[in-house]
Amino acid sequence: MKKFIEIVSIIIVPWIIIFWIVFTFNGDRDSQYFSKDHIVVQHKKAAVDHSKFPALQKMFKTPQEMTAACLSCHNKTGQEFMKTPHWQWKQLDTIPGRGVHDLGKINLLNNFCIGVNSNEFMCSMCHAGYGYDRKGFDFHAQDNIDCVVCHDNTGTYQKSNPGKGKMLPGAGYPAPGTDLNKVAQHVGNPQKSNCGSCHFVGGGGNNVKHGDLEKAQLSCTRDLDVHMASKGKDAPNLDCQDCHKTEHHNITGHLYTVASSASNRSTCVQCHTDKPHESKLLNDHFKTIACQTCHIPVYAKGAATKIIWDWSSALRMDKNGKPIPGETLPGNTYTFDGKTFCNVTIHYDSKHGTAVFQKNVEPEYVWFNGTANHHLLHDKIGDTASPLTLNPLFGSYQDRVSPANPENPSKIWPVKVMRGKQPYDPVNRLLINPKLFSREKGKGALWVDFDWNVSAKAGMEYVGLPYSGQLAFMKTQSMWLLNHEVAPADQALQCTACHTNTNSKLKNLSGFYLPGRDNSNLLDNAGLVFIILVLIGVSVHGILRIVSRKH
Amino acid sequence: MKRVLIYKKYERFWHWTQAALILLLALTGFEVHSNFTVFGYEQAVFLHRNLAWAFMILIVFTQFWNFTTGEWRQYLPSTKMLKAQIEYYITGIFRHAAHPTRKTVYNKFNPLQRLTYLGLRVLIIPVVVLSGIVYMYYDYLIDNGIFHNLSVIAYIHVAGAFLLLGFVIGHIYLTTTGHKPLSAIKAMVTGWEEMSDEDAEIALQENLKVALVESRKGISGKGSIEKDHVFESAFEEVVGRLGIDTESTRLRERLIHSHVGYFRINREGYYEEVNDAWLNLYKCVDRKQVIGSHVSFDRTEEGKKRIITLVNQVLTGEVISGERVERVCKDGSLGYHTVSAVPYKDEAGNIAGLEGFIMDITAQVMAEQALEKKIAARHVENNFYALVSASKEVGYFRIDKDGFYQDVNETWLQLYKYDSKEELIGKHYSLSRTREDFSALEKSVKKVLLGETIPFGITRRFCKDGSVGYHTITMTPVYEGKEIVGFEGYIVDKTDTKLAEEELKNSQV
Repeated sequence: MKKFIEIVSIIIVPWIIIFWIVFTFNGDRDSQYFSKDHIVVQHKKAAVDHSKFPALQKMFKTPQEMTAACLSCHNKTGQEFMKTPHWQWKQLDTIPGRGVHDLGKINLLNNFCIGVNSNEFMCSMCHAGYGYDRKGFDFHAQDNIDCVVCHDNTGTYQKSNPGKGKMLPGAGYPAPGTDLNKVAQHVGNPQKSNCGSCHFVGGGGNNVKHGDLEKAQLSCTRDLDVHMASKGKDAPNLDCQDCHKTEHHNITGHLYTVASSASNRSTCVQCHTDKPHESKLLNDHFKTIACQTCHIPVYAKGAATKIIWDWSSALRMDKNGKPIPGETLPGNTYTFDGKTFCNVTIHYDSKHGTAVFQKNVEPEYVWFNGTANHHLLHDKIGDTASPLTLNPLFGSYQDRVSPANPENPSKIWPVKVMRGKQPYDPVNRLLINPKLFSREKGKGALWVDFDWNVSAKAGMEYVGLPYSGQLAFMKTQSMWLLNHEVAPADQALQCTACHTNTNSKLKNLSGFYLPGRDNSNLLDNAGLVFIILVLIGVSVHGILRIVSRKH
Repeated sequence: MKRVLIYKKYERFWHWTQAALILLLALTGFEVHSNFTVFGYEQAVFLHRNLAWAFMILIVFTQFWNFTTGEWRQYLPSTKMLKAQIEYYITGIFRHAAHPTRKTVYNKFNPLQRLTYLGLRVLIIPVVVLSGIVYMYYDYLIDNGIFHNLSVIAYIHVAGAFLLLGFVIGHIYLTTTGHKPLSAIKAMVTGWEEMSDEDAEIALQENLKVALVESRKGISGKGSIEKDHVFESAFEEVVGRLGIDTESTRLRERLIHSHVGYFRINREGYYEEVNDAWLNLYKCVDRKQVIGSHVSFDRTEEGKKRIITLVNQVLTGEVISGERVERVCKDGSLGYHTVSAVPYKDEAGNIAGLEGFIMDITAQVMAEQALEKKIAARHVENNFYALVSASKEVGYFRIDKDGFYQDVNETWLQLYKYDSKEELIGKHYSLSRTREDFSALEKSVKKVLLGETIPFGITRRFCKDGSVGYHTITMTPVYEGKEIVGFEGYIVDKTDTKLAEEELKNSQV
């Protein structure tokens, strides 16, 4: 009995105590943990009733008259707004290693509709101004500012579509029949629908361009977007500017398809701090991983987004020689550049070529330090065998270890990679800025005249760059960092999404050791062989002992 | 088949805690490293960290224990019998040959185990632990630009884990090679190892021998006799070290035939039994005179009081250990010994009396007392010579200031194995020493010649026949008037003790 008590007290009791402690305190609560419950979002109520202002009672014949009325009170706001990229479509930005450039939609190419130049009439559907239909637009005429596209609170204001309808009021003008007085008398802070009227439909349709910005966010549950959710339990129903803090019309937030430097960003940390998890181990991940990486496991949760655009297949006509207006091609897989994309929808029309859409897309992951390079209009193309990245994101594991800018070390980010084939001039080794849109035939517009050569000639002449007359297609890709459609915490990526050696999310990132993902096959095999040899050794030894005992 | 105590409580606690920690560390570690799921990745990471901390704390405690208890010596590698041990595992075990080495509480590990465990302790575990710490704080190392190649750390950690796992498999298998397949594991749980009668006998003898060494450590010749505590050594420790199972086996059975003085006293304080060693110490020939006599019989007044207090103490259930007491021998002479005693119980479990053992320290105490007197009286009345030179247990010597022997007593001659004084008188004291021993002693001699009295502690001598002996030496100056003309002193033989200690150090069976 005494011995039993002794054994219990020196073996069993210590076990119970030690393992109770080990298993109970199994976590690492961060003392600086900042719960999201502490975040307070304040919405200012409108201080004035615009419908009572006499300046807004007058019948507006033109939108410019309405703007003049706005500016009659907000008399410094015009000058303020005209400095912003929403107006200028460019801003001074620094490309690391390349110096300061005027960068923006106005002079950068993408692999959607490629370039604004020569297509302003169409593009200015999303310009916060009136009449921007060609180069030479007066960016200093403040009456041309479109205030209400952002500030209309009636939901009735829409810009006209130059591609539709016979009557055209002018590039970027409101759609005919819009009650400007009603709109002007009901202005207020921008609503999601104001921002969304452009930002949800970039690329020509709902969610086509970004993948994480779509109409569904106007009315969704937390499953789609925890921040913008307005339906269901615990829906915070945030406005865009709750995160994209704005002062003097300078809206924070940087889209790296048109920007380069790590400035003026809108971040998760501004509300959540960098200690948003109870677990210190998770908070430590923030040194290496952007919040978005785990918290945006999939995007394009409402509408499908365009992931591939193959311009080279455009201009194929039907058997009657007529342009194909638009059809869905059979099949749900598409192979591009050696990669196979599953669960996709493939569209074809003669104007645009082949477009591949995907819903619930899993992001790709890259190292990113908050700065990006750009393929500028006049940049020469080097290798055409591998895809040209139009906005290469700077960042690497080495830049995490010893960051070039300690305030913005490289982290792993989720990204939508938009792939495509687009025209280039193989002689001058320049990407081509084609002229796509015109309301008239014979102006060289691709979508009217269906001729690449004239379209390229017209477009390149417009931007003042040479065109050799030869046109080919090359693979390009652009990188769209994901920030929206943040999933509820319980849907965030779990440890083993990355920390696994079978299909790790980070399998394409190399140059560092990731526990669980990486191992040395040599070492593991040697270890296994060693263990097997030990097992064989003891088995043989044991069997020999048993056999020798019998003899 | 007999049972011998091998493992102490702390060792058992440590071993099984470490075993459980290592297995759980391996499980969680490999879960993080590979693709199976037991706890879930996040839980496995946290558990691995917590277990690692528990493991590190345990290591700190255990190394502290190892150093304070001297158990670290058990891990000193030795090549002696190593070959035999390897041969035993390769061939002998199949021929049912005897184990080439025996387990005792002082020598738990065979040479192969020593090597393996030392390797674990100084190589594999430190490598795994250190790489683990770097792994755990890798983030901070990157931030401070100290280190940024996790793969190297991870590979070292994983390699160490494989080695540890291999060790555990081999270790578990080898536990089955004991007396019976499970006896080694049982021993690790209960502390008591089952052995064949023959092995147990040898193990017990070893345990007894070293226990005596331990008990006598206090009697080192260093320090003053007033410091009673130098004689103390925990009785339980001794009994434990002796490997005596106090529940199943009486102390008596272990000690009755030993050269330790064993006694048993009943509740009323009358001697029930003593062994020959006890009788010798009391210079008593007739056992009958003792049996039945009261414990206070034949003691000084002071001694009576003290012994009765001690007896009563034990009868209330206490254990006394290393208490120094005075005895009056049958020839009337005074003697000193340490006594350790424990109550013994009848079948009903009531305390029926006490039993214990005594160890003689008379020679030591006498010599020290004489020396103290001499020092107290300075050179006025030198009966130190008279007291010590005639001693049968203490070797006396006198050497002139130039280092030449002037006088030694018979005991000295016996210790050095000389036949007569004439062989030695007039010779230099460096005669019987090596150069190192001499130079060490010379420094002390110089101090003595300046007037100090020093106990030199244990020193080595070469006997006339070339054999080596050990003794403690105490030296004090000899005055003629006010001038120091030489020094004298006494030596107490410690050869048995020293050899046993040496043996303990080398830990050879």
